[in-house]
Amino acid sequence: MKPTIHHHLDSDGIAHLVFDLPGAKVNTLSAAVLDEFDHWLDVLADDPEVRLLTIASAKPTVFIAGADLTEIAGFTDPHEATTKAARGQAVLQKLADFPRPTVAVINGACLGGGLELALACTYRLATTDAKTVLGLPEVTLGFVPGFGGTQRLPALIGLPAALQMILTGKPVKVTKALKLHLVDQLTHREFLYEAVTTFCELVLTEEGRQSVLSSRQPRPVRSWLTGANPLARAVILSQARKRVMAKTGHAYPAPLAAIALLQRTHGKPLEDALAEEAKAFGQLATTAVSANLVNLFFLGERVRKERFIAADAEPVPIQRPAVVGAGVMGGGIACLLSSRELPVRLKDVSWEAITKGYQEANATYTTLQRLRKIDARQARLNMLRIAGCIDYTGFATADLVIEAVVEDAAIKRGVYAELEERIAPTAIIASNTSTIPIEELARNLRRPERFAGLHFFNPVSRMPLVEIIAGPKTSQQTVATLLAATRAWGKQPIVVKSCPGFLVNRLLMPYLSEAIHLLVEGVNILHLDHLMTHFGWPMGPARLLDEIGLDVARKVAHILDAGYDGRMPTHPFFDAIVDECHLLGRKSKAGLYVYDADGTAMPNPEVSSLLASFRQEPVTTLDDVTIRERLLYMMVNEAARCLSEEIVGDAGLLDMALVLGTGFPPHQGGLLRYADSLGATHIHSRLSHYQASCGPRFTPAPRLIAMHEQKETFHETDRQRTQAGISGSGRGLPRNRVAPPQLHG
Amino acid sequence: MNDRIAIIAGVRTPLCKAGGVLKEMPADELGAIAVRDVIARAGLTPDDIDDVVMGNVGQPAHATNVARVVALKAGLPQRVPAMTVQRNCASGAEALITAANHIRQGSATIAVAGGTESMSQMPLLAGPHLRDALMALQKARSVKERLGILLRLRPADFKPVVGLVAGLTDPVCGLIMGQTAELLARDFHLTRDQQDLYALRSQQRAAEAQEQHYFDAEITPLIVTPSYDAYQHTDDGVRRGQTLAALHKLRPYFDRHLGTVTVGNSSQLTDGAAAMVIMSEARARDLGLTPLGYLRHAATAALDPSRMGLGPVHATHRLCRESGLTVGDFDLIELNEAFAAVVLANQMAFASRSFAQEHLGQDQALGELDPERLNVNGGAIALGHPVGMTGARLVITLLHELKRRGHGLGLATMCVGGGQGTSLAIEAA
Repeated sequence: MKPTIHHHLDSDGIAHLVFDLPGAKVNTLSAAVLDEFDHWLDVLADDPEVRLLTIASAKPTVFIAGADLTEIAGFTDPHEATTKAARGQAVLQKLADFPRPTVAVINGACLGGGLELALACTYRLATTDAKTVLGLPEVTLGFVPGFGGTQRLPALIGLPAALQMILTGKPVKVTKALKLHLVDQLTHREFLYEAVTTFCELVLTEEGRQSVLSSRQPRPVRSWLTGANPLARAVILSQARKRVMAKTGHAYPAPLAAIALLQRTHGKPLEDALAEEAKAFGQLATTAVSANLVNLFFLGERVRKERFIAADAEPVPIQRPAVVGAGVMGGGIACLLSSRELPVRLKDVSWEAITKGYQEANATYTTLQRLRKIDARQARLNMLRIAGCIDYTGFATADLVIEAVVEDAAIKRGVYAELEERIAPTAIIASNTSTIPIEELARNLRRPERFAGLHFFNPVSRMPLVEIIAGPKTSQQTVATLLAATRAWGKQPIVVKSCPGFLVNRLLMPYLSEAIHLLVEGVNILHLDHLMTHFGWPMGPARLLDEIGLDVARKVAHILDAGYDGRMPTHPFFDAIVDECHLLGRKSKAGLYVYDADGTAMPNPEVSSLLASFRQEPVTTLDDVTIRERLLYMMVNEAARCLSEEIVGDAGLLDMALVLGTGFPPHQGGLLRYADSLGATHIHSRLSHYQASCGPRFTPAPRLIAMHEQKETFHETDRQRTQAGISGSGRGLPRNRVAPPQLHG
Repeated sequence: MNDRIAIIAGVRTPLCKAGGVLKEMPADELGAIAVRDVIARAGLTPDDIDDVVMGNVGQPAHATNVARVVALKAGLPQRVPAMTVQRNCASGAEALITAANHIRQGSATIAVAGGTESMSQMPLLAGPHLRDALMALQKARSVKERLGILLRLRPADFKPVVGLVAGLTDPVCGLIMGQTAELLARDFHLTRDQQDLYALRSQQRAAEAQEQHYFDAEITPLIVTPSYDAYQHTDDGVRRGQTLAALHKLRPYFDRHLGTVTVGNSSQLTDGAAAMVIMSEARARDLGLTPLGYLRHAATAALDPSRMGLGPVHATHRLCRESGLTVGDFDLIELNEAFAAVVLANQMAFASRSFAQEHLGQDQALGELDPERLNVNGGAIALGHPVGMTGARLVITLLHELKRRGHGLGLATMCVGGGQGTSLAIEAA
């Protein structure tokens, strides 16, 4: 096997160890790499010519991305995981004890184990390159840093800042890192060589060493107030615990474990503290939550690269997109495109309508400015890229037209007829339909091969998922182009086959309808939503209905009702609440809940009586298990049908789509992974039970019956596929967290 | 310069009163929107453009070569060069002439030309005392020194120099533009009544044109920044139901006691931008594009700064002499309504044999300006005069009106502060 670490000794006694994992884009700290590093530390420690050791990376955008996740994913025994962490700790301790000064030369992502390695160096020098970030993202994968990070980070930058980094997993940029004294000096990448030489010479002098080290020392009072005194420490940790509890409760054990670990190890000798850390790592890395999060991480990597279609279809770059329909979705899409520096033509029937689209885009940019993601100048420049019109001006030169008009097949077809008169024959038309089958929309098209569904989720700027729906006549090149384009726009597209509701809405709507059934049967709305947020959803189904809009949900319900021959009947409640009560949800300030000015939601009393009017039997108290099962198994059952119909490639993609598109709780690993953990037999028997008590909507899908009989799981077949894909390349910790739980409409 | 230059498309923003709807939109943004949309209307993409020339008078402090900023904000590729031209009130026309010359010389193939002006955002300048103090403050080393500088300032030193007023004042003859109009009124014996009547007619014609949606084809509506909660698709200076009585009530603005020029019979201060896509006639044919019309000839002349209002007659004289056209050849004439007095004085000068003999060196009058062909849809008195943009607007408005009528030759002519005039012969396609 080719070595990862290259060694080089300068004439002036400066030794360089350069990480360059063969055949990979990123460096990771696998067991083998750690052994190699360990060996070099031994060799160089004994070399009298070495005055100073630097550690760098030969990868252009990564220093070291972390431990090798494939190794972590393989752990089942906590002791094994603890041993692995202890081994890493030992190697890094050897680095920390290196008899000469050591300098981490950080260019690119320095994450997880990579940062822990840098922390074990005497000094850290970083480049100002935009890719250079430092972080400990371990908690996002369900465990805690295990190579000494929980000890060395607080020791270097203080408890509050270290907690922030460890508990959120968010990496910091170099300017922040310098402020925190996480790095000692910055340099522009172009002058890296000179900067390393000068810095090494500096710290080899006694004054230079003193000046660098003393600049790290916080003022004594401040350091005492922020963790050195036991009381402050207890307060800081308990506040952090409260914040974590408020955000995610007990769903994610890793941040809570990290806090407990820091409490426990305070004042202990480093050796004992590291042993505690390794133990905590071992326990967490083998939990189901961690396995789920790691699995989702791999799934995310897979979705990012998945081809979906034949390898020979060449995507065409999209440079001049246009959007028809300036509503919430059209405006959101225009905003997304403009943020990617693309000029966008935005057409609607009136300037009033176009103004709404601009406001939608502006609202997103205003939020991004508040979050300091962009500044006012950038926002204004991006807004200028959006050009409204009411007459298809500029559409002749468009290469992609995204249609986002009302969800009505006849109106959409009318738009396509107008478009085909005006756009280039090479241009693609993509419909942002959320439910209507593509073949139905493509019926009168002259060029159906250049037509596909492109379903964005609301809010477009935040939802990473895009469903690309290939109709029977859609060409491979059209799909390839939309895949490449949406990826270039920072989205995570998944290709699905056309059917009413496609994948996500087809799964989500039965869940939402079941929530209405439960409410009609007398379940308390707050309790219902609480059960699902407790499960890990960012909001319960009733709140979600309000967010989506009851009118929109009603439309989706009707389309599914018609599309599946009554297998998914629309609950009459939807027509009543929209037509009779005119309650549309959050956007009309009242739906299942009523909303006051600051967005606080209270159950809507008007709805209780409406719900009661549909009640056929007296209220029976349903237990929590029943409520949860009816909601979730309804989805599982429909997912089984989607797999049989090959709406989506496999269970893994389905799970990822739901996490990205609906905010399905990541720590549950995905809908079907959750179902697999319960077993097909259990789900089948419960569905049969509900079929008897609640009606045919719970009829088990044929695939579930087969799985129950043959004792199969949804993921069985994919697993081999996924693992085969992983083994080829080493992978580090994620650069992005798994999608934040957000919801769609 | 005999090759005709094809004007493929021309578009302008609505013109809105300074300090009003568009006050938060800087000139570069207004210009970018016009440029972006005119390229789309021409059926081209920004990649097709290889030259940009924009007229602008009140150079925005944040965008000193405003044309370049306009080009980049309009989404033109970075490789496309852009220059700003300044010939005061003819700047927008000058941009067209300059870009046309670039094409004739072969240094450009498809160009965007236009003008942009935010009269709302004309800078306020620090006076000399304040300026010196601010400079000294930067150099000061101690608090004591700084305090000393600040204490020397008097309240009057904080009074800003209004860029707009300074810009509209001729530094050579010392007159503000309205005062030169007063001079013309006296020279040509133009009474207050005559001027107000002309102003009324301008308002009525503009109102009628608006009613008939004549301007819709040349206007690209704007979504108003920074809130993006409203759109503007019409010129807001037009006063429907304007009456002579109302105009009579206004006090003379530039000569309080004896004057005749009021804000009612002067052009309004408005914000706006305009742009055209131009190329050689041959190129348009090759690309299969149908032009709106052609630039046939252009001429600029100069004269006494205090009589700058007579620029049109001098420039048109030159245009006719060079091109062989006569005033009678023009089916439509857009003569910029800087002031009613300017239009009326030119009408008299064009028709006057003695004026021709005395000032133009020819025996016959230049030719009458038929009121039925002159400013048929009103002008700057109703729509306003964003100085650096107007020249381009006159051409665009003229082209659209010629097109609406199906054919013809048009004259766009304007007086220029500082004592110049520019005239362009425009032909419908």
